[in-house]
Amino acid sequence: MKYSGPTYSLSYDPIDQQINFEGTLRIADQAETTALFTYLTQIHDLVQGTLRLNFRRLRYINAEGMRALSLFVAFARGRNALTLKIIASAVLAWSVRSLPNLCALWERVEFLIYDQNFYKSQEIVEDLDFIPILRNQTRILWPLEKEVLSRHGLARGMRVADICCGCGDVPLLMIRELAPSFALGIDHSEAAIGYARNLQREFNAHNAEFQRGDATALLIDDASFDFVSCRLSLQIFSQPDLILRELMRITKPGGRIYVTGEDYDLIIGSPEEKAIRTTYERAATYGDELGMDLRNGKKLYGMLASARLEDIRTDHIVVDTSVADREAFAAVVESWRDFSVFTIGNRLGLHEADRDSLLHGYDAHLRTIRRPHGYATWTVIACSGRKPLTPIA
Amino acid sequence: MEPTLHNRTEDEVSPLTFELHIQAGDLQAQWKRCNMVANYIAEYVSYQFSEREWAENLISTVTNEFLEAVSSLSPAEADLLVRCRHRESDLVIEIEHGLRPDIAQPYATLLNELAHEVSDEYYLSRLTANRPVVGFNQLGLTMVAHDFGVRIVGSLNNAKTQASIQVVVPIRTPHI
Repeated sequence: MKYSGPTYSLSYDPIDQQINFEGTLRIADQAETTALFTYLTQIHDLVQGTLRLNFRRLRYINAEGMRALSLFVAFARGRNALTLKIIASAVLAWSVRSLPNLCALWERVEFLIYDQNFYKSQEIVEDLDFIPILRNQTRILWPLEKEVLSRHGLARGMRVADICCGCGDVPLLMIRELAPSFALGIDHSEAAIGYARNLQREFNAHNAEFQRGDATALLIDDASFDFVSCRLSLQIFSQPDLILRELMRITKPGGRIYVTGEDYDLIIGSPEEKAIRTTYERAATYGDELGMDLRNGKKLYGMLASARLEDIRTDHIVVDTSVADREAFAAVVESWRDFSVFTIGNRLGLHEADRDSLLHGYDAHLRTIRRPHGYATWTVIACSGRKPLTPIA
Repeated sequence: MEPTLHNRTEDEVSPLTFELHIQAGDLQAQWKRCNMVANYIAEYVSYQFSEREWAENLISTVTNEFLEAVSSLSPAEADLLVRCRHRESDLVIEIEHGLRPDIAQPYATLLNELAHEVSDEYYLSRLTANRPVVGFNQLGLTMVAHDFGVRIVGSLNNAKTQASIQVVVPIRTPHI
């Protein structure tokens, strides 16, 4: 069941017992209030248990919209049959400030901010300290990934969106070297977006924009980009399919969706092979405990195929010591080591012996990278697919 | 509508002043213009703040409520002036607008009430009340004062035909 107003729509998802609000709900008159209230009460009577009201894609509301919601809460309170769960987004000021008032109207109204602690590692990944890791990775990955992006369809003049763009360096490099007409970078981290905007000034890139946003509920129109990327990010979310759904929604029919993921099974080195492998297996296990999947690279093809994308292309982006600058590669591994041993180690409360063991393996990896004839690799799997021209059933 | 810009050199360093003159009748004829103007102001002014998305959402929400409220109070032919100034972490919005004679007294009373802290009880009583059929809608201004920590100071001229309001909007992300 769907209801559309002049600038908003409400759709009911019976599987989740959820009404999704989208657009701008600035009600002008009593007739609109009545129509909205009628729709909500009809849905109310279809539901048992909990009715979820999801506001994550409602950009704005006005006071009359809030009054309509309060009328609905009063109705539900009168029936006393359901619990109402109100879902807000930390990105939308109004939703965080105004929606909690509804809880004061009835004790069976619950309020939650969806993107607050919505993945286990959020606090550490969105911290300013995480940015040097991203910068170091870009330094060694970009020279290789640039070619891969071209092979996967990113071409001059396209409108590009990079979702979970981190500190924004890759969208800016895309603009400088691959010449899309416009690049939009979105990330949930305030620190990363602030960094990206500063970097944009340094790059003097006028055809880029960076916004803070929730990758599972983007405030972007359907079918508005030719090429949509999400790099090294699906691995940190416990429900990557929710992000993939949004990537598909904002991609134009015929446009391409490009994702990359790490695979710790593919990090190898020699000499000291055993110490290196043991450490990355352990690091992947610690990642599991934080809800990350550091072996997700090999799963990307299946994800895109299941989503019924067409013309799926895959590539291994292999950073190895035969081509990469050894010191730049070592800087990446040093930042991984510090993040893994100290940031994640502290978060998980690792014992001293476990930390020492991790340190030992990372140091072995660093020795291998810096040894003149040592060989070490870091492999990122890239996978892209074309959104069909006809809607996917 | 005539936008005016002053003193704008660099987004991050220069406080901006931004003015719009709008005829109240324009907003009364098409209510959605309040939304358009609020979004326009918010999108433009929010570039001054580091937490841009938060600022944009907040400024649009607050500005829209003021535009909806004061345009309904004004004679159709009267001008509305909206002026925005960036002051540290606050946005100061100054609004000058005409006033219908029948509405002057309840409006002055509301401004006086909003000059003090708006209690939960006061706000919830307005939120759950029916939409007023006559008079003017007081919920919007009450909501922005209650939910967004907006400080509102207003005064009417002696003839009670013109009002000046200053609105201070604190642009801060709450610890959530």
